[in-house]
Amino acid sequence: MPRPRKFTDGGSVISTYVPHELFEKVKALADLKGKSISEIACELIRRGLEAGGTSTADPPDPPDALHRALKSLEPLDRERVLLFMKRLEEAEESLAKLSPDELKLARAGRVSSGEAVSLRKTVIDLRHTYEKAIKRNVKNPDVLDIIGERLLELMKELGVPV
Amino acid sequence: MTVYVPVELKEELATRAAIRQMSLSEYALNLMLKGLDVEKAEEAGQSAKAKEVH
Repeated sequence: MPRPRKFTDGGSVISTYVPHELFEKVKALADLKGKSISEIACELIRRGLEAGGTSTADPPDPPDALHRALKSLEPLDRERVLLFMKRLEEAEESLAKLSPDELKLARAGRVSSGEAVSLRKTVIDLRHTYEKAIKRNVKNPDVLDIIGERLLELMKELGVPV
Repeated sequence: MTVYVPVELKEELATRAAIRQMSLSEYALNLMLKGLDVEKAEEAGQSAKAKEVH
């Protein structure tokens, strides 16, 4: 008889290359909690994800972090990012104006009103710009991190496939 | 290290890793380090509370 599935909706394996020191820490935690190394690693990944990609020891203020990151860019890239950010902010403002019902439909990918349809098109266009212009030219991971997360939120809210 | 995760979590990690121009392995490693940070902070908080009680 096969053993029951750990994740009923299906599981998958990821392989990570980690420093030996981290492996030893995870192994010690696993021994302490009586769980497998994989289970502990999965828990840590979830916790890291919940922490929102910032270190708990020294969480930077997001606007400051972006400001610092922008300073490190070449002028042309900086201009590109600033323009993209402006469009992102406009889209976020439009999203805030949608009614709760429209938002619910949008999240399910069933936009109905003219405003929601146009906003969804804008976000698809933003995703395209991000893929073709921003990601290819801007190599600073902090900048990509900050604006990528904002774009991802918009895409989720409007049911735009990733 | 091989980690068994739910499919949705792997998809979310892959998306977020792509946004950051990172490999899935690299991103998972970063998250594990952050997760350990959180764990340590929680433990420190709990031991501080225990000291207050005593």
